Amino acid sequence: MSEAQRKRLETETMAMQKMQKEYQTLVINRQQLDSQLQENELVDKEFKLMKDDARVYKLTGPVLLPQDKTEAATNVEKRLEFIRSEIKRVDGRIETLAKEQEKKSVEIFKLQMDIQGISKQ
Amino acid sequence: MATANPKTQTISLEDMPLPQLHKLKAQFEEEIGELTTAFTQMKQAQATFRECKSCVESMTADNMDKTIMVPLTNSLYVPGKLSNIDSVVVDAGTGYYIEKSVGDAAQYYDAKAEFVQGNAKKIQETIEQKQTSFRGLLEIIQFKMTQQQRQQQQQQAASK
Repeated sequence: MSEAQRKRLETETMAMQKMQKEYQTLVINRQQLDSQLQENELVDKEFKLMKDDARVYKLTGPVLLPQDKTEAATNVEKRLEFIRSEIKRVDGRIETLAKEQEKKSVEIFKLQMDIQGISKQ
Repeated sequence: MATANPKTQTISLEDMPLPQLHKLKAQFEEEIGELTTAFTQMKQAQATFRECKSCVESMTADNMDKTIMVPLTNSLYVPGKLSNIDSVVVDAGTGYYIEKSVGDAAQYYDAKAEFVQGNAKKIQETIEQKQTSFRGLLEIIQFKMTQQQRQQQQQQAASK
């Protein structure tokens, strides 16, 4: 096994590990976004079902502050929009990263094969 | 995803080497564990909603003006008087609270409990599915292991 090949395998493996780590954080991120989306969707639904004379409060620290109803509703809608676009972004990144990972693992496999081939000779 | 075509799945499982099967087994165990936790959480949430509903239902005319103990913290209470039995403020999530009539609030909690119940049911179904595939996987592992043992014995017998 040549020194250069071993070095290359090492750097490639490191790059692969880094990718896997990023992938994992992205997946966790995606899950968080999903639960946020669900919670906000429920709030949005509640706002739509709400009676016209109902009062809305927002929890700020330990106190409930009265809120303007339409303002609160648009606020939640904006948040939903933001979360949806974030999900799209993260999904895209996950997809490209998965493809890169696949490529990398093939590369590493080839490299390992090469090294083994040489060491057997 | 585990929802792939079951036929291709079983074939690929039988062709897999043992270490990979063991890895798969660990993965299954983890997934089932996670789902079970989620299921308990759903059940807990459901219990909370039911409790909220029974609290709302105790806001009757009979209890008007009665003295109650209001919790300021988990361990500190101050006496108070029930002065309004018509409306309550309900947590809608993400920090927003909505004022509702007592009847609406009870309905709200019923809907919530039902929603959570539906989720719990879905989770339970998934758990059952996973457990069935898990048992199948265990069988294959067992089969492979006995097969391997037999091969080893044969090899030993042949080398003697």
